Amino acid sequence: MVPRKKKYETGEAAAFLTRKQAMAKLQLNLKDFRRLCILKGVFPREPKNRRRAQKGNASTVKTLYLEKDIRFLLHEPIVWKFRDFKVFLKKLKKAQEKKNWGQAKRLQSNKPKYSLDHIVRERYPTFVDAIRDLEDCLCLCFLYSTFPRTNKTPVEMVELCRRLTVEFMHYVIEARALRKVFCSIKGYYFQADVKGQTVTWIVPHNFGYRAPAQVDMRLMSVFTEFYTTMLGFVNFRLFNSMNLTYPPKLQGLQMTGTSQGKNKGEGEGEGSTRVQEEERVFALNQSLHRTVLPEETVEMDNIPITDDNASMEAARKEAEAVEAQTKLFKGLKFFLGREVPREPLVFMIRSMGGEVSWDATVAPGSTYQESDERITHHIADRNQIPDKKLGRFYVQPQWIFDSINRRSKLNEKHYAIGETLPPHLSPFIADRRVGDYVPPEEKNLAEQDNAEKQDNEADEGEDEEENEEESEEDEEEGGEESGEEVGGEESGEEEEEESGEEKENEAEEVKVGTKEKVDRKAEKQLQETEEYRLREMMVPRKHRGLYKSMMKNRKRRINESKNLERKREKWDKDNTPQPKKAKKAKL
Amino acid sequence: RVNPVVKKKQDILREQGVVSKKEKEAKLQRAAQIQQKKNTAAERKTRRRTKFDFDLWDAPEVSTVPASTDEETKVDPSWISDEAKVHTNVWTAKHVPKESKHRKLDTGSLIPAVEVPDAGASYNPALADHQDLLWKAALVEINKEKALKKIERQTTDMFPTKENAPTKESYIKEMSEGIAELGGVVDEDEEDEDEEGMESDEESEAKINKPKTRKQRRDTVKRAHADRKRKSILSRQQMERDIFKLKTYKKELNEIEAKTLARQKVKEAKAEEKRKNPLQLTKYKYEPQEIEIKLSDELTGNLRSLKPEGSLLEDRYKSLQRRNIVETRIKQKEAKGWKKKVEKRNYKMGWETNQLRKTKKGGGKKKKMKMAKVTRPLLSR
Repeated sequence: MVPRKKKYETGEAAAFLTRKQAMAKLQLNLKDFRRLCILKGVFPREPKNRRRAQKGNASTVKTLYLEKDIRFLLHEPIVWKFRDFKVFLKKLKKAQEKKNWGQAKRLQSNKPKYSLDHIVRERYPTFVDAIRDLEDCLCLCFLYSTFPRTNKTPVEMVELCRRLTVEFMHYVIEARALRKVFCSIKGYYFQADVKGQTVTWIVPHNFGYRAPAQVDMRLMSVFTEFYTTMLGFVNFRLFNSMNLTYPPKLQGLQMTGTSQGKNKGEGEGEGSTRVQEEERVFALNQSLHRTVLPEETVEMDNIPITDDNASMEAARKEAEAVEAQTKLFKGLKFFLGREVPREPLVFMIRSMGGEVSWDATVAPGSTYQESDERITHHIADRNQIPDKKLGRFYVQPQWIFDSINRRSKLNEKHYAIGETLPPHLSPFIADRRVGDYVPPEEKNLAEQDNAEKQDNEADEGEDEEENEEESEEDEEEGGEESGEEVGGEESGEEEEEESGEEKENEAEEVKVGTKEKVDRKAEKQLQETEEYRLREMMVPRKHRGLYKSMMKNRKRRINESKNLERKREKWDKDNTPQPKKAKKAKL
Repeated sequence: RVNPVVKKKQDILREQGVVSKKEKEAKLQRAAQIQQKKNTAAERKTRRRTKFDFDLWDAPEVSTVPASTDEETKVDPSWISDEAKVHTNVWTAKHVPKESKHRKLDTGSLIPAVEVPDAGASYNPALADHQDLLWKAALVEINKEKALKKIERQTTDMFPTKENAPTKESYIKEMSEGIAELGGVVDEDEEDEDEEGMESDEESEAKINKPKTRKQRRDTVKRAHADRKRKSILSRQQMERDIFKLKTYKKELNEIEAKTLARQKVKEAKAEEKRKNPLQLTKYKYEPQEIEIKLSDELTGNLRSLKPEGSLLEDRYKSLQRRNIVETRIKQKEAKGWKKKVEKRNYKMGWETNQLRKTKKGGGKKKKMKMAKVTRPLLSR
């Protein structure tokens, strides 16, 4: 007879295991199980129906893992290394308790080790997969490189993280990959273009370390263990793709220290030069040694991939803008004051092609001193500087951030020492929709850009004002057809009114008939608005609801922004004229 | 132990300065080993990998066959089984287990690894952006207050306060409203409701079943037959007429399809929304971290006077929880671990406790305190 079919034997109940069951199957304790899951990338899952998955017990929420994942973990060779480690601990403890110090020392020197290479390869089958996951990796490595050495964060880990992050920064500098910078209260946000993928990461401000109470440090150290291995391999491949030697060596110097193996035992003298080399590499100031010299930059062929001309044009313009951005600080020499954060600024300046240095007493690796005549910009953050040298700009660090984001060198006057700085806007904000509030500072910048463009083009046929209005609206509304027409409608209406008034004045007296001033532009605008209205009516009924809501939202946004503008004007008015009044009162 | 004769010979040779080949080789090898140890000292210090000297994604295949150039000693690799090859390659980068191809490597979360920061979080933000962020942070607090107030409203506010609490007089007054004898207020507009008459239950008469006659049986069969025939004719006629109803049927079907499609879309949208939020993986809910913001008076436009806000470590930890890579866990209280107090054998065994027991019966407080003073340093462990 066929045995009766029992509940919770098939389906969702069989697909999930609780954590306890998983640990029993793998024969690991909780610490090792979590470590294994993190290394292999096995996550707990949420089932569709918790009652079924937990075999009828829905009163508590249990951590569930996919049964397939656990079966997959069974084949992992690292599991044996965990068990070996457990055995090793037992032996070590026994030797220590028996006061068998020789044995204990011998055991510790032969600690069981495991390698994570095959796990990295398995989780990222191709190089591009690794690049996609690079954000998390970089954030953690940069974070750990700023930690102090505690018992939860050992010295080796911190040093390894520091080395790897410096290598990655060297790659970004050499490849001119940095695109966006944002200085927030949390840290510096950098966005770079690595092998076609945008990678964003955060670098903390250089301040005291405070361990938050809720964070599980052991967990984070397991993540860092995995990510350091991954970052090392990624660095190797990135460096090789740029024809740089890995580990990085400085250009033009005869390397003695960092070659592996063939030292002839010259002892301390060599050790110190090697340390000096490392320090100079860590300073990020000098360019690296290349195995193959780069050729002249090849001009891009204009191969039409798609028929869409507009998008191709946009892509070409974008590529040109990026090209220009990489040469932003070319030929400029910077000097950093003592109070500015050195490493992020060095990184930013060098990735845009500039040269930078600092005072020799601050850190090793400075190439020229403050008294050097060729310095073009001096970056300082003080209230005032007593003796300024001629021929160089004294700017605050925000000039660099904003110039990189706007892809052009801004006017140093606004960022001079002692000036109130314009606000540091975020480059990550998505394209502004129609009617979104634009702070007046951005508007000013946009106007400046347009004014420059007009000077270059020098169109004499049309009014400059009209041109500016239209181009401004073009920029704000992203060239949308309806947007242009709305703007056009406004200017058309104004002209209509003017022509209307003129006509009234003329109609009072009977005069010799003058030729009616046919305002072709106004007529054109009228026609266009009529056509627009017709097209609006032609919108099919299905889409009418959506169209209506779109327009309504747009109107609402415009009103909101106008409201905000009014508020801003009011605030400006309240705040600025006070000093003048105060002066008058004194007199 | 060395034979004394051999030892003598060795001493003589050493005095003469003759070094054997074995000793020479031993010296060289020892020096080489010390050098090797020095070179790999940094690697051996830590169990992590510090040297990255090969391309992981282009790694060379580890051959299971020992390399040899001699024609005679070239090994034919066909005898090496697949299992042996896998066993050798399992630690190298080339080996990719079969099951890993079918693995779901991502958590299905739509949250990016590093989220775009708010514009108001800049160290020198624009006014509007900063106000937006302040408003967001304020909203969180407002919502918390709202939740508290809701609970208050539904529980304590349902009961009267001390001032409004009913006193005995007011209670009597309220209860005697409408009753003229007790002195309460009688409302003249009130009407007495008519009482409805009770309905009597109908008794159902029990039916008495009489046996059917032959005629009645024939009639019922005939009637059933005629009914069936009529119905079949009607249904066929209805089917023929139904062809003209095709349009309405089509319309109905389209409506049903449209409804299902709409429902499916709503379900999809819901599932998408769910992917943008952290899942419930353990019994503890995910708690979002506080929004990092500098208040208006804390804002200085200066990079030098900037004090960073928020911990990046916590930020990364919470981000991992949000993306369902790690489940939410609460730090459990550590078990104290009671240590068993074992009293070592000595001549005084149990004297202190006995003394205390004695004082319970006989002596007063003073004697007890005296005893306690004596025994305190002894008992404290």
